[in-house]
Amino acid sequence: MNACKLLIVDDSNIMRRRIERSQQIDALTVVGTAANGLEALELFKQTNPDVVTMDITMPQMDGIECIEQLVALKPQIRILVISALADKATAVEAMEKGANGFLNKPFTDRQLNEAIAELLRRSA
Amino acid sequence: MLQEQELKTFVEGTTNYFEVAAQQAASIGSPYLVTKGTPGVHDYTGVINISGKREGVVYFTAPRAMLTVLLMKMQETDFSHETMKDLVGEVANTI
Repeated sequence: MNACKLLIVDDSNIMRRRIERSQQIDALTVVGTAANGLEALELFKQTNPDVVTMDITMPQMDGIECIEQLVALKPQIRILVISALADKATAVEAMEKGANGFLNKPFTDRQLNEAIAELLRRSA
Repeated sequence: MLQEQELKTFVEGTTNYFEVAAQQAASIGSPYLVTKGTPGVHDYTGVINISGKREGVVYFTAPRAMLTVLLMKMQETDFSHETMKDLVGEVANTI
């Protein structure tokens, strides 16, 4: 598997650190963490990530809008939504905007790594 | 008036949260809002507004000691006031 750059987007410091700590995919390197969609877009320009974990409910710019903008900037980007919003409509909307996977909070380390690995497998 | 099935959503959301995040089952007790004339509030409280079909709030309150254990289960090493506030908000939001 080729080396990939990961950007973590979540308004919770705890969740950002948790995802960074828990992801154990050898091919992935965390290149940045952002607390909202606007920060994510700024970091995207600086780091050009291949994979993004994206929260939905965030201040300033939410995950849905950020997904749309990231996909417009880089159509091949892989986005895993990690959200407490477990309703079908949110998942469908995120997928329609260009997300590639959905993981509900709370999650185990194993679930996180399996979800990221599946994302990478599908994009290989 | 909330129906039993709607309440179950919150009960299941809460038990699921602790089973997954703390690897420990939560026990369910009788609901209450006020004890001895004062609301039940611990060291930290997270409140999330709900709007739509129903309106109201999800209110999660916990003592610092319990939150510290929860953070340790999550392998977190920062036990600052800011982290405690972040955690109660995240728990309320997730539930």
